[in-house]
Amino acid sequence: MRLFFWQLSAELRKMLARKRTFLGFGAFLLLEIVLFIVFHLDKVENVFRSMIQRQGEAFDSYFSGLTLAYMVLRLSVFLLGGIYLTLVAGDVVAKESEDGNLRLILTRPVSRLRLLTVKYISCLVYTVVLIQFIAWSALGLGVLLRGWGGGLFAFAPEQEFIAFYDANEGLQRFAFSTITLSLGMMGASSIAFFFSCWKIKPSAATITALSYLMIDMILREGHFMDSYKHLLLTHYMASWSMVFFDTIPWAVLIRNYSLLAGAYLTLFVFGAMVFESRDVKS
Amino acid sequence: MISVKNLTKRFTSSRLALDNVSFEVKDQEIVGLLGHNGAGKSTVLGIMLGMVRPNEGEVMINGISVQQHRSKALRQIGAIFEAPAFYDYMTGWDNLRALCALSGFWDEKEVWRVLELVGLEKRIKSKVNTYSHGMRQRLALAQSLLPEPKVLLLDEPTDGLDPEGIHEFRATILNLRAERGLTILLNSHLLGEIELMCDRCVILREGKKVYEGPVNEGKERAPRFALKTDDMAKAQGLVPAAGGVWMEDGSIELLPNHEGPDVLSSLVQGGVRVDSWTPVKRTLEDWYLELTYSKSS
Repeated sequence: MRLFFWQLSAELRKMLARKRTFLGFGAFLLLEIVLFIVFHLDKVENVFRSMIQRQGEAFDSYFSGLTLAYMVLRLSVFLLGGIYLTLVAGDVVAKESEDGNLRLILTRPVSRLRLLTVKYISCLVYTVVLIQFIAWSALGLGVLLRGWGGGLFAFAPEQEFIAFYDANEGLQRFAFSTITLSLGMMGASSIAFFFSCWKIKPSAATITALSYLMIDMILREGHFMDSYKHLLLTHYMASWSMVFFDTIPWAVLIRNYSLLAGAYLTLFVFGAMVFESRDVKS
Repeated sequence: MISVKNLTKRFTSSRLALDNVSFEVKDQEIVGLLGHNGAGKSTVLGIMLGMVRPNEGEVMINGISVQQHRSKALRQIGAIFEAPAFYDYMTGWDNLRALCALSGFWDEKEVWRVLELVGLEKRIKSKVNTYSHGMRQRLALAQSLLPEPKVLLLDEPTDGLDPEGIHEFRATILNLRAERGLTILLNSHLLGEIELMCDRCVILREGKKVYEGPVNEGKERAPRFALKTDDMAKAQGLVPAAGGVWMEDGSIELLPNHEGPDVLSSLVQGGVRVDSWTPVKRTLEDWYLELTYSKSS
């Protein structure tokens, strides 16, 4: 086990040493700043004002750093999250195969399954780190702009809810949502990782994974698929915001995340089977 | 130490990359694997490292099957490829750490010792993208020696090195064999390199083994003479009795225990008017080309 963690830390160090990894963090920070500016435009602020006031709440209390952080988190992950996660996970095996690193690695006495396990877990760790970075940097920027205090106004069209919480409970729900969102976004990493195990270019792995996610999401949004939503991965990935429901539907959450875990494991097993059967040659 | 048994590999249904190839490398021996491009040399090395799966056959390293117990067998192997692909954005040191982690080994003292051996200790903390080809190759050699292997597999290791680099690399490998008792399999298409470094060689042609034996055999084979005469037909008839073999290229190869002057004298006595009788100098290259091309043509 000690050896496994050593190998995992080496893999993470390798991942973190790449410019692309940090560019991701930088890009998200930039996007967050842009979104904060957008949310402070008069017309945008007015939209929030009317949404909050329509529910009988005070705008000044709920247009807080916490609310802005929640909005920025939602939009950042929606706009860039999938792209960056599939970019990194799509690279993990396919890029090393393309660059010839894999050939050098496979001269080492390590089984392909172990190698793949280390790489997959490092992708999952990266997913968690990135989502946590987005969430807490958004909150940091929100507090910097609006100061601490005020409640959380959360809403999600796909889950059809609007909720108001005071600062403490809002912060707790926000913190919890960063965990559920991280678990959900592992779906994007898992799909890209699966394609990365094939003998394809890293860009092809990323594009294929993104295409799958887009199609899945479009189908989920189309009403004609309402009866079949349970077959779509993004339906389960979107469960993260259920932690903002007045009463958290624990049973649904546990079922959805169990199904996601099953899907991730299946993708990993199939990816490993493909990788095991490959001849690695120059 | 290395036993390659009946390797057969088919990448596509139409072409056999390896056709029942077998050979042995004894303990502390340096064996060269020769062949032109596409002969199957890299496929043999790929199978030895468990990167390529053979359709038939197996490779044993010190009695352990690579196909059945890859990790255990590979604990005894270090390998280098032509143009080794490191993580360019990391330092040489970090590359070594990342690779050694996969072997479950890290001993800084040993690492510095190996770095001194390959002459890379001063630049090891620089990023690999600042390394020259020669430095990358030295880093490749360093990683292959960590942790201490019993077998070294070298795939075209001197490709792209300048003459000085090739000389240094060769000296290092020979030293390693002498000091550490390594068994080495060298895959190359450079005859001079094989001649200078190897005790024996295995030659592959279109996936088949066409020769296994001493490198010098090519030079030490029976002497040949070029005969110039107006009466070739008569000379050809007399050659077997005189103690020679008439070769396809028109030269005469002497049978064992026969000397050039004796054969010449027999021909003259048989009535052949000899215009010239010249010894043919056969290089290792002639021998290699004969094995790899003339048989296939």
